[in-house]
Amino acid sequence: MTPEHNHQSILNLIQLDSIRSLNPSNGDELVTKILGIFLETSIDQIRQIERALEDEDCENLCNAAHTLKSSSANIGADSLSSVAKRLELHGRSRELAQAVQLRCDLSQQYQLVVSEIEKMRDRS
Amino acid sequence: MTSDSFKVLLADDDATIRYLMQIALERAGLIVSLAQNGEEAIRLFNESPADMVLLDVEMPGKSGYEVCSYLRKKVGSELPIVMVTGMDDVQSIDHAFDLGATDFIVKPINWSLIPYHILYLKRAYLNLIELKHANARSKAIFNTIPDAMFILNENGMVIEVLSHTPQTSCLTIQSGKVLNQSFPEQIVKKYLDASLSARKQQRTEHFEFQLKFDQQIIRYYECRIVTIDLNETLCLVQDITDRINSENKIYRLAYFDGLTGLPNRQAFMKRLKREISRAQFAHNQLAVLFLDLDGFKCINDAMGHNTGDRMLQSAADRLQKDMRTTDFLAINPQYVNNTPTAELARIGGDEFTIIISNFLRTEDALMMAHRIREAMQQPFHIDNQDVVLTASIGIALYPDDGSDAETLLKHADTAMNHAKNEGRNNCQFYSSTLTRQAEKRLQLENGMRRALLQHEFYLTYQPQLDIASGQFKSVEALIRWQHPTQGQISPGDFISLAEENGLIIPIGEWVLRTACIEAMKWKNRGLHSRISVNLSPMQLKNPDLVKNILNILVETNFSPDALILEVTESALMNCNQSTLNTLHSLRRHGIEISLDDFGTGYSSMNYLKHLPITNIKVDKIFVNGMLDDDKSLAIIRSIISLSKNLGFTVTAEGIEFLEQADLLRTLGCDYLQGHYFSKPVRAVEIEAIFTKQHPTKAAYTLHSIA
Repeated sequence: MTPEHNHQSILNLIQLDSIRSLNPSNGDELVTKILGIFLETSIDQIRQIERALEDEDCENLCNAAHTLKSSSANIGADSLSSVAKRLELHGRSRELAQAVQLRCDLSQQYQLVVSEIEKMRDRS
Repeated sequence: MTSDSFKVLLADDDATIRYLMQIALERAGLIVSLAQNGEEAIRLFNESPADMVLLDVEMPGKSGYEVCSYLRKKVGSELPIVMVTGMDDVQSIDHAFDLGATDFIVKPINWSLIPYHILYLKRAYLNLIELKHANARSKAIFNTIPDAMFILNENGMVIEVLSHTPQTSCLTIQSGKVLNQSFPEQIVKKYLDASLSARKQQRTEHFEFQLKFDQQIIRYYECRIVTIDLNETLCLVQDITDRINSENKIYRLAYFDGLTGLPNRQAFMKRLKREISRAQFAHNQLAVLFLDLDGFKCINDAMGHNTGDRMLQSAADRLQKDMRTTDFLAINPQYVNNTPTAELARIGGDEFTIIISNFLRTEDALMMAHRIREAMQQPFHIDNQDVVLTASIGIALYPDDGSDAETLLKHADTAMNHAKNEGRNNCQFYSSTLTRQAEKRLQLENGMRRALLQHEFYLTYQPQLDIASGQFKSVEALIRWQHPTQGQISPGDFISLAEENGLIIPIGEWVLRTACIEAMKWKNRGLHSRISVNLSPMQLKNPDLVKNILNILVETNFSPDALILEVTESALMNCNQSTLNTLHSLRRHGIEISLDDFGTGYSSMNYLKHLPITNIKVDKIFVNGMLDDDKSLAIIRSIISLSKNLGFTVTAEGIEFLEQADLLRTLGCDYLQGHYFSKPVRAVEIEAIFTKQHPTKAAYTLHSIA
């Protein structure tokens, strides 16, 4: 996997373009704003997921993963959304063991998204 | 809500979605309010209802489903509720549909398309609202129209009832029912025909019908039918009973007299015009009687208008009773199958008119007028007192006195005034000559009726000589009328009238009975004579003729084979099968038939062959001329020769001279009758003529022997 390829898979540019289209005069600003909101709200969802895994609370796991799945998909963070989706499904089917195994994936993908967002901020 | 202030409520726990959705919706020109969860969404909605609601399916606390259910229950089915859910979550989409969601948006949301999606939904919703308003407006309109309104399919089934008002509550119209369940067959046919026609012609059809409720109440309806499409028509049914009743009332007011209920002048003129056309077509006569109450004005002045009005009502009632058309039968038995009609009207004050149509003789109209006049003479009992009135009646005839309604009425009025001038209480034709003639005939007719009752008729008999034996063996019975004041009235003057008015039937029976009785008296004294009695055309047509004759023969004990009935050639001219049957029947009973006045009428050789006759009577016109006119002689010769060949005997009448008798004997004639032998004589004289040596008979007998 080339870094370029990797970079592409972290944030889906098509989804970001669709956000950008809502403000034709200053789309980039809107994207930056949304990504900022994501950074603010997603950290809570990550923490909730981790707490739910520690507490073996499938219901909270399910809810927090569902929210993260949706919010990450909204900014084009497809890999993160995909991990969140798997966590949601395990939570729903009460397969905690499999869910715990995804902890690293979640943390890793989240970090990638965060650093990608920060990179984009620095660029603009 | 207007198109410019369309409010959208969005509930999503995801801040980025809320943020972006706000931008997207505001870009589309919508007013947005945001909720972070279900509870907040419900609160915001209750504070200020939105025109559209977007709900995230999964939210902490109340889910999108719960909010959706809540709102549906609260505001009904129109509010667009759009569920926002994951693309992969088909189950949630399905569930939302069941809860009444209008649409769904999948995540991740394509933000570039979302404003358009929402605008599409907004337009659909506004159209729906507009449609709902249109329906409500239509319904309001339907409610103001007093018609029953329903949609009919091509099979005659009511698909939908749009309006059914109290005014049409008598009609049973139910959706899902075919018309046959609600209407009689012929009305269903009207509906279906009109529907078909409305579809074909693409125009509004209408028809009227009436329904009878509870066996007596009739209600009238008008139905209009408009095409909706190829299969359906719209029917509007209006109860027009009140209108029809008003029209009828107006008609009554316009054409009927309020006081007596009789047709008024307008109705009379209409009717008269119609009767004139009919009479013109059928070549019939028509009589207009104009009746005015004599001295009515005095009664009105002396006793007051109220009494006068009651007087007119009583007069109208009496008139109506007295001119029942069946009474014409009493006037003239010929009306047995075809009765005249009489129509009464009150055309003003004390003036009444009567149209008589379909009558045969002017005297019949006059007689009807006299009947009415006589009926009016009877006292009227009004307000506890008897009031006597008379009437003057004028008669105008179509076509003689006028060919149009106005002229006839004017002339009937003139004739009525003439009747007044003649001293009131009488009847006059417009033509005074006609009045005299008709009065004379009426008097004659009344005289005949009286004559029958008071024995003014009597018979004379003229002997007939049997050449073979030289003896009188039969007599012809002849009627005579001794009028108490006018003396002798010739049969020529009254028999034809009796034929017209039907009196010939009772007179004919009287003749036969009297002749039989008198002949039986002769027989009892040893004098045997056959009798010959004339039968008129009308008697011959009488279906009871044979029965009546046989009854008289039985009653008088007179032998049928001693009876000869003389029938004129003209009576047999239009001889139909029933007349032939009558003649055959008489023959079967032994009664002989003689053909009278032979040679003066149509004298068809062909019918001669078919008639069951036994004797031919040569008319005296030929006998009169036979001595100095070769042609008359030739005719007599031929008649005798023809008769012999056909097997008939021959009688010659009108013999006045011995030479005529001689010649007729030589020619082969069988019987002779005439003044030469004897004029017609009274019954008492017959015995003398038959038994004593009669001078002319003796002379003839001697002559013939020599």
